[in-house]
Amino acid sequence: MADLYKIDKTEHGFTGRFDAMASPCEILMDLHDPLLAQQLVHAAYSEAKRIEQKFSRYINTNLMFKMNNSQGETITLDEESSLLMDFAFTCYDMSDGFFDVTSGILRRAWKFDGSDTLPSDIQIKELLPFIGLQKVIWKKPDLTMPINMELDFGGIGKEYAVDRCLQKAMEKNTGKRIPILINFGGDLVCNGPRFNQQPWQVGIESVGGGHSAVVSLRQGALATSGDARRFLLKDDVRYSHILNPQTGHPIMDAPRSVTVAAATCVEAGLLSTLAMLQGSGSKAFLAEQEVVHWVQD
Amino acid sequence: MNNQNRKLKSNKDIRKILTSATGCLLGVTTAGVQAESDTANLEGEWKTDIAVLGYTETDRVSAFEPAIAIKKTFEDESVLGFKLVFDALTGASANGASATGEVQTFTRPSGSGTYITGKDETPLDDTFRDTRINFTANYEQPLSDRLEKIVWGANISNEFDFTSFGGSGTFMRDLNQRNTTLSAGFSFEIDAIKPVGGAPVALTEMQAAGPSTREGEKSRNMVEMLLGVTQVVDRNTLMQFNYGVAVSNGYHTDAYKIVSVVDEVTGVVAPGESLDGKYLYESRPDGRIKHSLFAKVKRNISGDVADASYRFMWDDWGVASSTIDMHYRFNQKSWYLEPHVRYYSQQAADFYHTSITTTQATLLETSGGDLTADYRLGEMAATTIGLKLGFLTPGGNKSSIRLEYYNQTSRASDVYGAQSSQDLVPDVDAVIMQYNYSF
Repeated sequence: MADLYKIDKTEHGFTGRFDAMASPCEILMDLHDPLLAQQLVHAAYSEAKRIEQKFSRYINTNLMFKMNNSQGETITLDEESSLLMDFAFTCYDMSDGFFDVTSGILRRAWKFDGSDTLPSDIQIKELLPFIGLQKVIWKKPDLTMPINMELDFGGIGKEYAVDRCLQKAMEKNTGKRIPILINFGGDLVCNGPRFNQQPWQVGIESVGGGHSAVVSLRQGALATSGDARRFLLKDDVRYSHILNPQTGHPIMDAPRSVTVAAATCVEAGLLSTLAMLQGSGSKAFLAEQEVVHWVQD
Repeated sequence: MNNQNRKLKSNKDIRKILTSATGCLLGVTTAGVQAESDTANLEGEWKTDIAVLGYTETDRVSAFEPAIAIKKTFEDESVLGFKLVFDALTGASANGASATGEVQTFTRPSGSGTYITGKDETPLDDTFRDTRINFTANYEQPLSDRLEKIVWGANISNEFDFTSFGGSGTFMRDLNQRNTTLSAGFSFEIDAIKPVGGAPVALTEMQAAGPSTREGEKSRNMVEMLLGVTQVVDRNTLMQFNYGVAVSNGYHTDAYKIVSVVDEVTGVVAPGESLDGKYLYESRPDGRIKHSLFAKVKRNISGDVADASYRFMWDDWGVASSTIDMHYRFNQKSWYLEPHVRYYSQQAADFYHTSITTTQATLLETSGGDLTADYRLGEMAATTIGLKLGFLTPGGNKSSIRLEYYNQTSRASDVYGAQSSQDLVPDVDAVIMQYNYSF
């Protein structure tokens, strides 16, 4: 057990830690019962690992692999995958095709390693015919994908896991509400204020000379989109890892980082990503949405 | 799809659509969001620390030292701090001469007036009275990526016979996911020394009150380099290593200290030219190179904090010392108790002599050399035991009271004849009390 996750005593409770989805994951709990703390962490850990196993693109026996290697055949999705598929379509429609779960194959051309290696136009153009969720036939629960197209839930998977892990942890506790905060590498959600009715204090890291901030979170979630570590730099131009699925090129003039507060981590994550996709219009977009947000240029 | 506007259907529908889509995805209704930025926390208020320290040596010096420090963290995470310390010293301090079976008469540092020490008593100069003001400023400057910072410091100190000015810069870099911190620092200090009545000529005899040959003001400067590594060993353990070297040049002699000249057989003080006894003004080298090695371990033991450190210092005067220092903090919810033990042991400077013989005096007077009888450069050991109680005041501010007892024992380097019946280097006992309050 000790290898899967670690649990440490803190001043007002316990913190569970593990790694999942390429992120350090933390479960903060204000409670005094170490056995219950262990159960909550175990529930969150199991859920995170389940989602990772099911939707990872790097495992060749899972559902994701089956979808991406269906060779034009129709496959039937389970309930959870269907819900995610519905959600992906809603986001695609809502964003006029800017948020597209089929755009992941652009990674074959773009390697965001901080270097100055840009792909050629030909490399990008070759990929564009295989991008566009409207080309996928989705008649719940049946999915038919054109050959050579790929789905990638990476843009929502981590936020989805954060929300699901909170649900799973809360299901373990039948008594009085235990204050819990789940944080996967900066994408986080809480189920209300801390034991003393105080808000959770969450730091937002400064990027590229921006200001850091401390957020008091009483309820809901925070998610951050940014290119702090994933970008290309050539001739002093910074190429963000946020790509326009219609051109195959990065969105220029996007802020370095956008953090949004919302009721769930999925919503916060989507809003921050959509804001980044607006490029220089991100601040106006966020203002229009009337969400609490922090932008770093 | 509206192709003219490649942007989103930017309106509030997006948020509504998203909320309902998320509700379907997660199968729950949520309690909404409540978040606000707490930037006021980041650009902090000025934080103030006040402290009052009292120090009393049995029969000797007493010090009263109030201090105030203020500090502010700015939005760019730079920190500016100032500290003002006021020191008032009163009492008597050992002048370096040895106790004898006779009454001894000494000239005051000013050269006018005398003071008398009874037989079998340690000669103490009771004119010892001083006030000191010390002001320091610090600025901590974070560099581009927050893994590096520079701390700048400036320091000015003034007493009626001593003025000191100094500056420092320390560069720190975090490595290895912030588990390792390397630091390199440089500092300098310039001192102006204006002994009362002028600096006496080294190795000359103390004369009876009245006009005498004195030198004027003196000066000294010092540069120091410090290298350090701090390493997080595991979640609960921190280790620190430092090496420092300080080079100073100029006047190091204590103008107020003398050395008794005694008969090497009887141990009786030799007759002086104008005083009853013969005492030479001390003389220290014009330069000093001091090295120090320091290691510290700090460990969290289920909520309590233990730390232990060892320091080894050595210099080209022959002084070498070891300090072992240990603290253990018992943490409770709103208070803590911290016992403290320190042990210090020192090997004497090459030119330390509790007293010298007439033969040695003649030799020094004719061919020069260095000489001191200052117990602070002699062989000694000191133990400090203390207890600190920290607590929160009813208003929620941090407060602490520290009480310490200090005992120092020395060993005489030279004992002649009747001196064996004297306590040539008596113990020093001191009590230290400090109160701290932060708001």
